[in-house]
Amino acid sequence: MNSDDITGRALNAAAAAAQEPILEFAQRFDRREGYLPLEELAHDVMRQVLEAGLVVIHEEAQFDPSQQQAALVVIERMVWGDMDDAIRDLEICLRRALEATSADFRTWQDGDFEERFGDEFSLSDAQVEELSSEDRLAYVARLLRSLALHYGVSAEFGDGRDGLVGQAQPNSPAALLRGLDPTTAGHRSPSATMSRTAPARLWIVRSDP
Amino acid sequence: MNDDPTVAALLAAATAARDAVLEFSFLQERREDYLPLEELAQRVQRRVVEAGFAAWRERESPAA
Repeated sequence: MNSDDITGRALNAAAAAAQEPILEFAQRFDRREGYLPLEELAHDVMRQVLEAGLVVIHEEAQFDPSQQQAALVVIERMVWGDMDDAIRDLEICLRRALEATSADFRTWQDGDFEERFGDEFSLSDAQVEELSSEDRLAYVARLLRSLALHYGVSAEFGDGRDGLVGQAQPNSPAALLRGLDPTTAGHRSPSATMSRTAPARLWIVRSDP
Repeated sequence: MNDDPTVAALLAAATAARDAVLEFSFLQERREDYLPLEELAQRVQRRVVEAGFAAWRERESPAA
């Protein structure tokens, strides 16, 4: 289910819920029973809208208990000593590849690749095969930046040479992987867990000696 | 979480619902208009959907 569907369901539930306190208010008014000041009714309506919408968002966007259990099983079976090394090395490789291809990316930007081929996901195997070495590097540079974008980190590092890939965006694979690392404490932000003094270390803080 | 378009839509919808009732209250006090409460309920329902989707569209395609 995409976010459009979830939004529609949340708003429909919210709209239906908004009516309830008003209609109840109307019934009490008709029966000449005690009723709320209209300002309180307004806040009741607002609360009902939020609660009803959030119930839908929560139901649709979160793992159900069986999915949580399945995810936990996968996480518990991981050998984390290997996993945090793998994540760290993945990010080092990504950063180094991005840095090594910065000039090639400018070639992609300044060239007419997108007019010729569409976006970077549209090239056929045959078209890639026919690219010159220089153009192929430009294509790889473009793909690496798309990889960084979808992984959830910035491809811009400024002048720093501290080994870091950019800070993870919320709701990204990078945030997920970094959040899963058992050697980081709680929900510290990636920037808080990154070591800026050791080039070979990324954001991982080990708890073992 | 406010960056989430669905949550932004819901917040806009809730605010619109509250404002619709407050607007009704204001008009009642000034006796400028009379709206049956059943019609108010329908108006609020409509505004929830309209304001919610407007906020959602704004977040999904800010350049549009």
